[in-house]
Amino acid sequence: MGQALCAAEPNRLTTIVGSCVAVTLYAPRCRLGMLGHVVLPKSRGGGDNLAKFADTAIPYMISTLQNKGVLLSDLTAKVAGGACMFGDSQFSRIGESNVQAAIEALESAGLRIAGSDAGGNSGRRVCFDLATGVLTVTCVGRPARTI
Amino acid sequence: MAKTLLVTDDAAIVREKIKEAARGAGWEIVGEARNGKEAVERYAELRPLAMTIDLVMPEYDGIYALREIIALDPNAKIIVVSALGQKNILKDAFKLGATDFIVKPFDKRTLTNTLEQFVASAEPQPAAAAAV
Amino acid sequence: MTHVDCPANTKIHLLRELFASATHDASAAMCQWTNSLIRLTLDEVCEMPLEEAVTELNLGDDLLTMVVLNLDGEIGGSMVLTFNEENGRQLAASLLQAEPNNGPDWNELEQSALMETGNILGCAYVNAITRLIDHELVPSAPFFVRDYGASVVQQVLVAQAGARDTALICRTCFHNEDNELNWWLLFVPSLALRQAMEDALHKPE
Repeated sequence: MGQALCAAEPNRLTTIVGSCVAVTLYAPRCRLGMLGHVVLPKSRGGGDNLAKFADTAIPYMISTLQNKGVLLSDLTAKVAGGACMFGDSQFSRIGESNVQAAIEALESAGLRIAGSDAGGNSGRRVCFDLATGVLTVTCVGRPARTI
Repeated sequence: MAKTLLVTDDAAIVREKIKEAARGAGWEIVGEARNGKEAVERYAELRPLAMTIDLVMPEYDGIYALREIIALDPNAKIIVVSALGQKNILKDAFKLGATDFIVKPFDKRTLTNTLEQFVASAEPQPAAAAAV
Repeated sequence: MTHVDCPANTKIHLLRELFASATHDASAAMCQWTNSLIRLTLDEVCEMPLEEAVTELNLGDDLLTMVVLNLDGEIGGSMVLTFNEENGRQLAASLLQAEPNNGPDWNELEQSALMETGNILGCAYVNAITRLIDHELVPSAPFFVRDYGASVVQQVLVAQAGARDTALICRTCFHNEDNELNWWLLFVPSLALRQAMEDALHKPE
């Protein structure tokens, strides 16, 4: 939660998201990528943890990969999560805001969103395969989906 | 006087426990409700001798129901059965017209003893002998 | 669990005493609800980094059966009662005085048994805290959730995530006679509730 990890094939990165959003950036040429676990949409200039907020996590992930020699044009992005698990408060609707903010930040960086599995009322287990860039998303009440 | 009871709680298990205890003490369960709005509707339709009501329920809560039912029938006999045993909440419930308050988890005897007071108070008292 | 070095450890210590008292009340309620079968003890009151909270709580990757109660409003928070599937079924069966249901779905009565357990425990906690802070706390109607524990805890922690990178979590464990059960009650107060409790605990006599 609130972290962004970098890995290369043959590794897999796995996370569980509820209202949080898993954002992946993948460079297929070098089979290298990052998985960000975003908690909140906007940083509002506060906090040191860049990976926590969609608007700071995505630029952070891009620059981390660029520092490893990846070109922006090589990257594809995917998004999973942002559920409303229960309740009716402003915090229970944060998932939707997280997804929106992640998409905005990705589009603003000029990245193509190659797939998404977002919204709903259930948590997701997201497994990011660095060999292929495929996300396998498991959710209660439906078969596993790949994006 | 018929011992008729309307039971209101969003939890089916609590409704079952109240019904079982009340039936054991000779009460007839004339209706059930899962939230405050249903409670008001059932009360208006059934006019039971007494009713039990939870406070925290989805959509319409027990406070809403208390207000509406007392407005409809100021003599309504309403036992609040709730896990919220906070001083101010008890005060508010009584101010709104609750007749009694039982804190969950409750034991059967507490409930049936509380219900019995309504029977005693509802039964017509013998008229005083006229002075000759 | 990982502890954050914070300058106000005495505050955590005082909060621990408050939660121990609330747990005692919740245990008495649980004993009555389950006919003396189950009791509670306070396991841990801890402040930890958000990114470690889910790992430290060791909720695993499996699906859990949970009951969630929210305390809405600024002075609020959330409670999560977690069971693995088997334990949840056993508790429901015991409360309903029936055989455990091993089918894939939970019926209304079974769900209500667990939700009412969460309601009784949650209210026992907030009743104790209300006595201290003299501020009414009313939990929501309970939510029955079968999902990844981590995903539920994330939504609960998000209310604290905006202002801080750490979360205060109070964890209570359950026992049946001498056996520890694989159930947990997590209480995550909002920052405002935490402050209200700390202020009340520090009030001069």
